[in-house]
Amino acid sequence: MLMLTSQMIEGKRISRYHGIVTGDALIGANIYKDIFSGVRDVVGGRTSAYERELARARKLALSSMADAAERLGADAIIGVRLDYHNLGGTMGNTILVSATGTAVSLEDDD
Amino acid sequence: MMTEGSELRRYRWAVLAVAAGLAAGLASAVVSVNFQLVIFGFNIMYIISPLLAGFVESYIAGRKYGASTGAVSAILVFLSVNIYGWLFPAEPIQWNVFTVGGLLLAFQAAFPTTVNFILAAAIMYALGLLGKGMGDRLTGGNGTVPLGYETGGAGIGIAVGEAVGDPEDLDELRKLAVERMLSAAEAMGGRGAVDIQLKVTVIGTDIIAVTATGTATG
Repeated sequence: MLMLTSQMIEGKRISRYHGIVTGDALIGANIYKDIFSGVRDVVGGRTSAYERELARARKLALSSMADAAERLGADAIIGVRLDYHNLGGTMGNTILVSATGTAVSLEDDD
Repeated sequence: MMTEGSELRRYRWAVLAVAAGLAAGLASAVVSVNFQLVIFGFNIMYIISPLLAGFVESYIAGRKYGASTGAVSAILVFLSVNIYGWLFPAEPIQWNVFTVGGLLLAFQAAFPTTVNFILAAAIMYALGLLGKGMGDRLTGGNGTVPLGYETGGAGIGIAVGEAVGDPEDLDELRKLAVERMLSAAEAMGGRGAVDIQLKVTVIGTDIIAVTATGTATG
């Protein structure tokens, strides 16, 4: 499934719009608990454990969105946006990664 | 409290310094004219006399008055020798590089601060022109930097980079997130990324996550 943040695809023409598709993933509280209990891996002030979990959640959200597009019979998702929301107030014990885009069908430019 | 008499005594040395400078400068001018001290068609009084006047005045003022008197005598001598030289020329002036250079030197001797300011402005202007020329040469004159490759290319997928760390490292985290996004784009076979979004998310109270999301183009 081709996913792009741009609205156009070079060399292709959009033959059909299937509508908005989304995918979400949560990083749960247990991740933070693990991190704070000693798994924290700080290199130059950066916490690589967070980064791994963020990347995992982002891939999950994109994959979930791609599944939704496939179910609609789309070839690609354009205008993809990734949002990261901190849930749980100042404690921030959960992060929601949300992927949103427009599912489309493509055909070659004449 | 300083009395009127002591005030006059104090300024006496300033006036004397200017007068001495003036005398020395004019005397040197007379000597230069009488002995025809000409170098490259240029009487040295135009340079030597204001310089000598300024030196004598400054020396006496510094020793006796305790402060600068502004090289007034140098300016007066400069005006005097030029008025004399231009209105009553002993012989027609020979224009050459030495004549012009000498005149500039004389002007510098009489008005050092002004000339230095003009010189500084001219140098800055010349450097500005040089910089503009180099910039135009690099950018083609329209203020844009050529990419060195053709733009465009088909989008081949989403490239994302994440960086997590302390808020004080925000700049570094931004760079890291973009570098990781570009690495991801290259790993997908792309040569760059377009339509990039940078986002900052606060985690808890003391950690931030910077994410860079774009479309890898091949």
